[in-house]
Amino acid sequence: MRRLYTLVCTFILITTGTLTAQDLLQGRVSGNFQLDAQLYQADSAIGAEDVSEAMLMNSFANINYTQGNFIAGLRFESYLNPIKGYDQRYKGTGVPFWYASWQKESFGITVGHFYEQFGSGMTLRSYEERNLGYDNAIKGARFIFRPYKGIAIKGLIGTQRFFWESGPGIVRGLDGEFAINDLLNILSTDLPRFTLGGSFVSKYEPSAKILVNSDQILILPENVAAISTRLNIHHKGFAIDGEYAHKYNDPSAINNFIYKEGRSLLLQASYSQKGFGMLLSGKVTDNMSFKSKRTERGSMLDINYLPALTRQHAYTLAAMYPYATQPNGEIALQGQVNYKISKGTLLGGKYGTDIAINFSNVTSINRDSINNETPIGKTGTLGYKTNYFDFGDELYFRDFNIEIQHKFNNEFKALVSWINMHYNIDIIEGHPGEEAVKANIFIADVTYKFSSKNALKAEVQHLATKQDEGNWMQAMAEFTFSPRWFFTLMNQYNYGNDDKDRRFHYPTVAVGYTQDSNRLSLSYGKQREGIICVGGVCRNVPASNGLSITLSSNF
Amino acid sequence: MTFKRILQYTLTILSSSVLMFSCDKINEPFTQKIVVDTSSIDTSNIDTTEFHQKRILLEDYTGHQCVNCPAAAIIAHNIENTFGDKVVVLAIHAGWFAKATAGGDFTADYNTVVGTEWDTYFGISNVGNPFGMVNRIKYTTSEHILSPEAWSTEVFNMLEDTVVTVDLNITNLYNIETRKLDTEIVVEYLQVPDKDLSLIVVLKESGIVSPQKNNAPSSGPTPIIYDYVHNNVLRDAINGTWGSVISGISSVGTVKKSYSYTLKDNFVAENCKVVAFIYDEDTKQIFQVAEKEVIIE
Repeated sequence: MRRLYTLVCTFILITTGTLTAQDLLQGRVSGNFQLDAQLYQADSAIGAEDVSEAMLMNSFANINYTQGNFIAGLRFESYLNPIKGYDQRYKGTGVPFWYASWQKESFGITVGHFYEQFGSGMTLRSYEERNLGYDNAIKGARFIFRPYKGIAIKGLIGTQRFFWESGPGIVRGLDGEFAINDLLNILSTDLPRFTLGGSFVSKYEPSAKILVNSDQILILPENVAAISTRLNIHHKGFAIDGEYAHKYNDPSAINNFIYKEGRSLLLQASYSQKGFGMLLSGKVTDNMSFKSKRTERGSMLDINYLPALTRQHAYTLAAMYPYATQPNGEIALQGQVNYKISKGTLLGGKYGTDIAINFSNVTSINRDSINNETPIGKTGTLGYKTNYFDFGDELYFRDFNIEIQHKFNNEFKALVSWINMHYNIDIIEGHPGEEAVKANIFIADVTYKFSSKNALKAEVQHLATKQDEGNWMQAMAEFTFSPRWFFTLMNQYNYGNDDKDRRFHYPTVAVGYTQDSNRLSLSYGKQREGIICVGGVCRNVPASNGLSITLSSNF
Repeated sequence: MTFKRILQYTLTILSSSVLMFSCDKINEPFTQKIVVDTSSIDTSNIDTTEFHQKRILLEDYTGHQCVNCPAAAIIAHNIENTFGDKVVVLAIHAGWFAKATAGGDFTADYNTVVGTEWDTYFGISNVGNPFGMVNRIKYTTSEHILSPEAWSTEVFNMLEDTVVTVDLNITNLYNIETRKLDTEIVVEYLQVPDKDLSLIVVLKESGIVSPQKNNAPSSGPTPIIYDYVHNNVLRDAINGTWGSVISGISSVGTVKKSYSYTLKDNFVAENCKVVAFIYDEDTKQIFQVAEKEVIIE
């Protein structure tokens, strides 16, 4: 621990050059560490191949130092070599993330690497999703200025992380948010609260010579801007949020180098009171991929973020067909109602019953050709014409699901869920010609507490479909002996595969041990292969078989 | 705070935004014509020590079950047409999307030991298909894997530097009866290298017809192009995956390397070419490439 402290102190001295040793001793060091390692064994049946390294490992550690209004930190990362399913370009060890940040009166400054989001993220969102190997941290400088109660202005400039390097584009952004009630000194909670916001984001990338055919190249914009405006109204249990974003001509590999301007509109309305909540949301997206490198096809170097208006399922079979936002165009609608049947009623029982109903529907946008001679989406043209809320004919995704949870007594509680899903595998996974997956998924999850510390959780999941790989079932039992141990047994079985030779079992056994903020878990089993397609690039996530080790620690 | 102050803040933000976030508005036409000198120079009657054309190797990592790969092949073909002899294209079928199936439409197997080893080493299909490399530049960073849209810019950039430090000349002798190919590569050092370079010699074939998955109507029928013509397909290594090291070069001059290779029964010799390239073993960057038909008409 002392060595670590010395390391951090040295780092702070280097980054600031102004702190005295006495100052440093008054600060606080915090952080976390995680190591994921996998030992691989070949399994020719499921397609799990031998790995020449035998073991692969991803790990990271965040180390932060805080003293008053000053904070600095770094993240160490090591991929030796990246575990299967991760991009091999992460291979190596280093410190790709470091920063120093301080607050001085109404100004906050960050230099180094940082994450940021403007509004809902439609013009700018920098974030990391470690489990997916995604990180588009910005390296540069950022300020946050709060000149008056209710006003927050953010500005930033930097380049984005591209594995161990930075992308070629420079991102500039400015965001302002105005809490109107605070500005006007309206303190009453009986009146609605209004918040207005606006963002301006621009990227610079040097021009390039991209061939359209054998003797013509594109004339490319070096500066591309996106703007957005947003409004939030909150009043007691009601909330309305809206944001509109507009992007200027941005020919890129994702949109097939068309010059049409992009736009996106997100509207959400919600209401909640005790025992009842509802949410309605809608989103229109048209040509809104925004990257700091125009030829980037994969999932890296996104400047903005287009959230999927669909429920993110947690159960394995329900999450087998997840929807991914189609940045080139989609219209999404989502509604959700949560209702708690009161305690003491016939259906509510002693503790009440929670019911959640969710529906989402995503379709294409209707596109018309710009003239009779130009095919829709042709490179080096305006691409196409479209109108707002002009639903296309193609259904990308539909999900209707009901979830009911009931606690019978102090020992026993249960959850059941039914999901009806339509998944356009052609569009979402890039499997042209394949019929959309229409699936019905049933989940039952019960937990029985033997004592205040010991519990058994059992899950049964079933996915029924005539498409793709056919029917699946999964059973899982988890024994928890708090606060130290858990044991899990699980099996997935693709019993409905049309190819009888591919009706595989995917068993897993896992054990975990927790001590204070340290956790070690081991699991041994098989994982099925899959294909991920993003932006016109398809990647195989290979099947694997072997022992997984996860070690995590916080301090 | 008064409304006046709020207005001042807002206007300051807006005006600074306009200044800061200039946006280049492009008006039609969105394309411009380019002229690249593609004249093929016959070097048979001139002193080759006086004329040396820089040539670039474009590697297209592909697979017949990769739905986006026909569009990438069109991009590679456009680059070939634009730059003529200045670019040599190799289509390397490797990775999951290049797998041959036991039955059905995709029984053709274009995988090669050399292609798979390059693919694994450079990590291309791990990132996805289609991707490629131009002269294997930037291998020491994460930026050597290029999307098809980035290929032409790299070719333009690399050809701007016309200096050739080492050149290659291929001579082939093919025996139709025995299917034996004797290839001689003349490596001409125009500058003394500061380290040993390596020479790789491979065989490629064009005009192979077999099904290819496709999701772009502009590239052909979807979801499968049954009579797809696979061009520039890497067929085999003639001198191993990483080639031969040429050591001991202390002065400008030529070195001759000779190799023999027997074409497999399913290779059509008339459609095959020998491709040779010379590179730095540490950075993997290619300095020069050449290609020559197995059978000269």
